[in-house]
Amino acid sequence: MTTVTTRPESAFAAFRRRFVRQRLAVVMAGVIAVMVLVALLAPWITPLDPNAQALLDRLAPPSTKHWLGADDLGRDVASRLIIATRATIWAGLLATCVSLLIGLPFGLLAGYLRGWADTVLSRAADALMAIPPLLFAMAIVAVLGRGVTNAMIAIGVVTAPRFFRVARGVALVIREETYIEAARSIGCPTGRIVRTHVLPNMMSPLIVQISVTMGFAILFEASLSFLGLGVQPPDASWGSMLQRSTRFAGDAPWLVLLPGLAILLTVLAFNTVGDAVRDSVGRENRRLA
Amino acid sequence: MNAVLEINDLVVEVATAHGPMVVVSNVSLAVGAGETLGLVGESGSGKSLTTLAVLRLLGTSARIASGEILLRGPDGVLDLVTLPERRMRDVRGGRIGMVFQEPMTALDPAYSVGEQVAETVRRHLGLGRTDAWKRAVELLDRVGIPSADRRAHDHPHHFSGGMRQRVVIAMALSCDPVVLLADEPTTALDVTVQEQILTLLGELRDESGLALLFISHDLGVIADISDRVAVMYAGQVVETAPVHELFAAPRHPYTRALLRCVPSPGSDRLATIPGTVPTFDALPLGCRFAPRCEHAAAVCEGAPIGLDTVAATHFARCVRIEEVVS
Amino acid sequence: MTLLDVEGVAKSFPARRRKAVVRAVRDVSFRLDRGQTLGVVGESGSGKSTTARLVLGLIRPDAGRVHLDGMDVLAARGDRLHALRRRMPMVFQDPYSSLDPTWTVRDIVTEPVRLGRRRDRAVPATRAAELLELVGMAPAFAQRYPHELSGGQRQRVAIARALACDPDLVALDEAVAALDVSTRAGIIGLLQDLQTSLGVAYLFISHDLALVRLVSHEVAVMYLGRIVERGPTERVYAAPAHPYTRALISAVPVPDPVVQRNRTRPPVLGEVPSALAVPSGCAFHPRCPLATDICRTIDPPVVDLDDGHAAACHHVALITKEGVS
Repeated sequence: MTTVTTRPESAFAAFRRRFVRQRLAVVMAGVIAVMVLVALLAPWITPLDPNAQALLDRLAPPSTKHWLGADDLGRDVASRLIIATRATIWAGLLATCVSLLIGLPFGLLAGYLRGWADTVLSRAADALMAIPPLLFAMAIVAVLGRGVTNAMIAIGVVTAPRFFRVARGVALVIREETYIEAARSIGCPTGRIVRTHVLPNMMSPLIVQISVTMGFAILFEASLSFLGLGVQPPDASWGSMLQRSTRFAGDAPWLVLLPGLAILLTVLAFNTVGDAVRDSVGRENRRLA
Repeated sequence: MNAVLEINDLVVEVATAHGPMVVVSNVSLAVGAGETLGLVGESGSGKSLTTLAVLRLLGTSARIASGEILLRGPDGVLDLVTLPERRMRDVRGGRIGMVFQEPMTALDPAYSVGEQVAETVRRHLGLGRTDAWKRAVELLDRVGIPSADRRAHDHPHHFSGGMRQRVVIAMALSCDPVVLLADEPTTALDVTVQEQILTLLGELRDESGLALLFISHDLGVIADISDRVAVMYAGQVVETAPVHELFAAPRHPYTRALLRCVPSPGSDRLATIPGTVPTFDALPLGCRFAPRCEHAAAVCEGAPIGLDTVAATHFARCVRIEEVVS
Repeated sequence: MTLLDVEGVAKSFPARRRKAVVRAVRDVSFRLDRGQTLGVVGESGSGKSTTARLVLGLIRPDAGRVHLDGMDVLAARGDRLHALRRRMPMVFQDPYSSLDPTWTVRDIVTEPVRLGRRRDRAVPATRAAELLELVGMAPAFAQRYPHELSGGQRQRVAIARALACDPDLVALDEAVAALDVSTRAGIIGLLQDLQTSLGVAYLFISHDLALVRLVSHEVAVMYLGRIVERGPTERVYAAPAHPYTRALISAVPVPDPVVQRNRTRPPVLGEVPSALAVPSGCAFHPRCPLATDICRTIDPPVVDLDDGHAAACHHVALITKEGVS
């Protein structure tokens, strides 16, 4: 009888070991964790009411009262940044979920079944891909009304082809794997094969795509809010904060700098973590990443 | 013996997270002109690493830690371990020809086979374009490619697996090598084609007095082409003997077990070897085969076992040969 | 008792380029009894793997009939087809890609059990251990992932998965070809033991003639999509009636230098032609030392010799009279 020898590390342990070796990615994962935490706790941790105006503190520089200064209406920048994290994370999640829920099923279908389903869906994806995301979001907002939800659903729809392409490409590779034929040979129905064999094997490229799309969506939320089509006043978003503050960039540079840095750091964090996930996937799954 | 290729005490290390790990331990082999040394072993035995070490193609993670690899030619002896990389490049594909398992890895799909053979000739022998092409066609003809002058213009994908392997052999022979390294050259081929390639290699060896180092896991192929055989296990040569002696009177328990693992007419069961090949980070202190050996005793386990002389040309790495044979 | 009855199965695939078709399998017929092993041998392009997939209902043939235990495999659809497939699972050549890398050994070996039930949940925890024990592996392997196993261990897991189907027939497609000599011996021994204890039949596809001889009760020799010779193993090996079988058997090197070097081997000409351009008449005629005019024009019918031994050659009489060279 073949005996069990010392157990080699599990796939997850190997993944963790390789991930941890990438210092920057670990820091960035920390940044994301802190952001999520801040977003969840935002109403309770803001030092001041983010919407309270104090005209005497108009454009006040950082002080003990306003740690990061105050904006042109005397609102506390620190509090507004914190509360804006909510809008940002929400916007990113919404767009990414919409994108994933549209792109993934169609991509699986096209890649696994091939044939005419693939031809039709791929053409549709190409067509959607040709639409500039920002323009599409603006059009949707014009029709359905302003607001971050409408804008982000629009962004999710236009970025769906990215998930479609990843899912289709990986499904095309996986369907040729012997374990798929093995599953067929023991009478596993097609739907079940896709659900239990194809899907779990595309997790790592999907995670990469999710993090990239998060960063992408956050950038678009900022852009749309900057254009006044996203988060509506008086609610705060980094994009709208940036937009308002450009007029006072000379007098109060912190007003521009801080939301800008927040956007930069967040987008960078999601992209770095996505790359690191891809690089940390073991040889056992490497060819799919 | 005046060997053309002589490997002495070769040690190859692989870099791991826990420091260097020895994967080829003090391997010594020699091949003479016109002779075929068959190198047999299962995966992880170190047979392919040994060949790659001869070519100094170990890559970045493995390196030759010690030992010498002597190549004797008309102009003296070269130690390939210390030879500068520049001169090593001339040796590879020059005085040492190479044939690997998968012919397509050695061929460039973008060029005709004639151009590829001619290119090798030009690089190593410095011939002109027309002469090199003429020589390429001669070589392709010599390895049995029908109407070679016409087919030299074809690209590799127009050739069958066996014909591609012939092209690779033509390339290997293009610079009149003294040594031919063949690493599983027939494994990817059909049996009827394998037979043709083996016949070809044998003819070429006899015609030009090549020293042939032939690596295979297939004992039938080894029995067909080898003059002498070296058996490797877990990074060591465990037995080496002339081919008839090795198959008729194997002395090392691993060789004996291996020979019983292949089908022979009349028997309806194969013998098996219990356990698995040890990993290089957990090698037994003494005999590396001892944990799987039916003859293992206390003497096998204490210290490393040396190669013992069985006869003038027969060596085995076993301290219990008497008991094993009886 | 006939378990598997295959009659006149054929399959062509559209070629990647041009308008040609690859005639992968042409008019293949055979029978396999319960608890027996049929060895299918042939070189690359002989259609042996495609034949297996046609028989198992994994690919639909263009023509022919396949019956398993009296049931029409080709007429079955949906759940009935899935249930039929489960009676004849397959073990593949590459143990590294035939197991889903994201699944544990427990989930892999019990998948057929779950598939066979209406409700997923209730697979007894001991089932995985039982299956692993059947293939000579410790129960502790159940928690492992495939990448933690050696090639031989993976192949044992693949066999355990096949056994979990409670099969009548297991198709083994070059199932030991990728394994080392000593590992291979272990797997072959296991397969032989399982046949004795469970009475399962094997469709043993291999290019290794010596191995096929060892494990098979009957053997079918394929060349360019056709069975050119079939019959009881010992009879075919001792007195091959088709020139291709003779060439194939004599080309296999014997691991004994004395025997190997003193064999007289009929020369085989060239290589297997592409299945895109199957030669006219007898597909083997361009390589055959005995080919005559009739071979170039008429594809020879299968001629019954005796005791289930049959060959498709115009010159069978000539060869059998002459005996084995």
